[in-house]
Amino acid sequence: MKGSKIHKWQEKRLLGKIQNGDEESFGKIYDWYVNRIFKYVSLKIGSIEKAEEIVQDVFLKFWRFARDKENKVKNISAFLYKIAKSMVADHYRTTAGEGKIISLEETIIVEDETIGEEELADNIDLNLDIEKIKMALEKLPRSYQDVIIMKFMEELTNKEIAEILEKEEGHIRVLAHRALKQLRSLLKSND
Amino acid sequence: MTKLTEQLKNIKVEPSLEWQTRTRNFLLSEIRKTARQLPNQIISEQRGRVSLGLKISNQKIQAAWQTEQSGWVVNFINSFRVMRLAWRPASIVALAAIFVLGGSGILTVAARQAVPGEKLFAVKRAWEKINDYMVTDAAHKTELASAVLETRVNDLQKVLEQESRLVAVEQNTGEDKTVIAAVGEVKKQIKEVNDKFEAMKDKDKENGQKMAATALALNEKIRTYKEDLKAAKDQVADSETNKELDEALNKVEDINSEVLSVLVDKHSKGELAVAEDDLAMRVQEHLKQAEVKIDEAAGALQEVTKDENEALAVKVDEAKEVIKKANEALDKNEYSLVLTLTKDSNKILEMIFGSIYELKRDDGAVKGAATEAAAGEDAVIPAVVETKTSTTTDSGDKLLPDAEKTGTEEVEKKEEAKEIKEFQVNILQ
Repeated sequence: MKGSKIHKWQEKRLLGKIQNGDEESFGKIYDWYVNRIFKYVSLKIGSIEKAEEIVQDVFLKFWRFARDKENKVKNISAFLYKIAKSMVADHYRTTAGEGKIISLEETIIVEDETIGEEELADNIDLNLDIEKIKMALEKLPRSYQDVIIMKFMEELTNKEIAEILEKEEGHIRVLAHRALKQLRSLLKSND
Repeated sequence: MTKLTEQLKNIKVEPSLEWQTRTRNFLLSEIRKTARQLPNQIISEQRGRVSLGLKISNQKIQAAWQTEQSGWVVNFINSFRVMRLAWRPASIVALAAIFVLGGSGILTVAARQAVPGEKLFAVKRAWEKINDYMVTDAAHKTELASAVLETRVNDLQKVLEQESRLVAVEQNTGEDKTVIAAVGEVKKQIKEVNDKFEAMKDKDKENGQKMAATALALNEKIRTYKEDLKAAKDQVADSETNKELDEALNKVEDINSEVLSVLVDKHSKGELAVAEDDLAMRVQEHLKQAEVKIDEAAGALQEVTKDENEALAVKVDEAKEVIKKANEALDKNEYSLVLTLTKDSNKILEMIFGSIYELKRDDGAVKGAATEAAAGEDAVIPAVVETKTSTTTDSGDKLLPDAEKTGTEEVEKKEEAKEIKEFQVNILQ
């Protein structure tokens, strides 16, 4: 089951069971999402050890929230990524200056973006190795990193990413386009 | 030339398996700790569910929660939760029966834990039959049969757990009659659910909303049953038992098909309070199952000889074509057509799997083949390749010769009488 898509009705049922204290249902959710959340966190912070710590806390926080009948989790995937994102942000705050991440602000002008992602990504043969991509990724602004990891590595939809990042879907399309463009230019300059 | 997006997709970052397992165990242990601390919410909820009028004081339960040995209290209350449908209308009579029979309470509690193959299981079955007897409402009877099926599936899981424990300490060869009996009981109860559901469809024609609500609840339950039966199948190595479980799963899917037909019908009449997207998702889920089965059939064909493979491959293609049409119908929101086509595809697949099984059995690749062959080969072998595709919805039972069907009913009646007799003997002891 690991890594496969979880159906909406399955989510609903598992969440219902969790509210009744069913640990096995929590276990199933853990099995489904642990690799994805780990991938996101470790790529964002670049430390396996710290990523392990954060991911563990992400799932614990998820349980505590989902267990409470007063709370309602609409989308497990989005919710887990949201917790992870917030914990990664906390990590950045506490380790300010340590990381290599360059924070750039981007201005979004939706109307200007007309080139499709496919068009941009097509026909690029940079003979890249994974380490180079990871290094380039670290140099991207955080929001670009998010969208590259979620959209192109984890294959989430724009709608899902919009929910996680609390942005408009159109905004995500633009972000993805810009992120890919910048990643390509970073990779070319490093080549 | 590789696209950048492809390269991004291929980046593998995974935690070690050892860490995954360790963290999983740690999280579950943390959860258990917090679970012990939560008293009020669950207690009030569980108390609300105890509809027998039993006065269980909050303080007592709370005290029990706070001790390490609180498990039995939770199990006890949970057992009411599962059986609440059974108890609701029959509560007064059942209570009276318990008091009249005095002393049988311990037996009843013990019987509730019994699994197929154990002597007390007959008592458990008899209680269930009494509950069913005391309920008159058709929808309620369906819910009750479904609740009993849940118990039967749980029984099977218990038996499998026991079996695996025995295998671990090398006390068992793995060929356990109890597992076969438990699977048999599951199948029997699936038939019961089907019968009750069909009876409800006849009796509750006038009350569409009630029927829709029952069908919706059953559809939800069926999803759980299927998952649990599939999990059970993963634990079973014996091919005969596996085949039995496959049959059980097919039968559950057949019931699901009928349940979905009711939902589609009620939705079209505005008697079902479910959004169209939700309904479409349920129908799609059913269709997906058929697609998975086609893939499995295609895979299974690799295990037979070339000549046989070719003939069966034609049938697989036929099923694929039917499913393609079903997908087109789903795109047009023609749910009834989707269900009919899925049923047709399942019929074809049933024949294919039957043939593969028979061919493997003839080759001696299936355990217990000789016994089954001796039991009546002619009745079992389906005319696979020659049979034309049919759009009828005959159940497996309808395909049996009348004489054999009557024989089966007689055996079931005898078993039922035997169970009640055993129960009466036990209760008087």
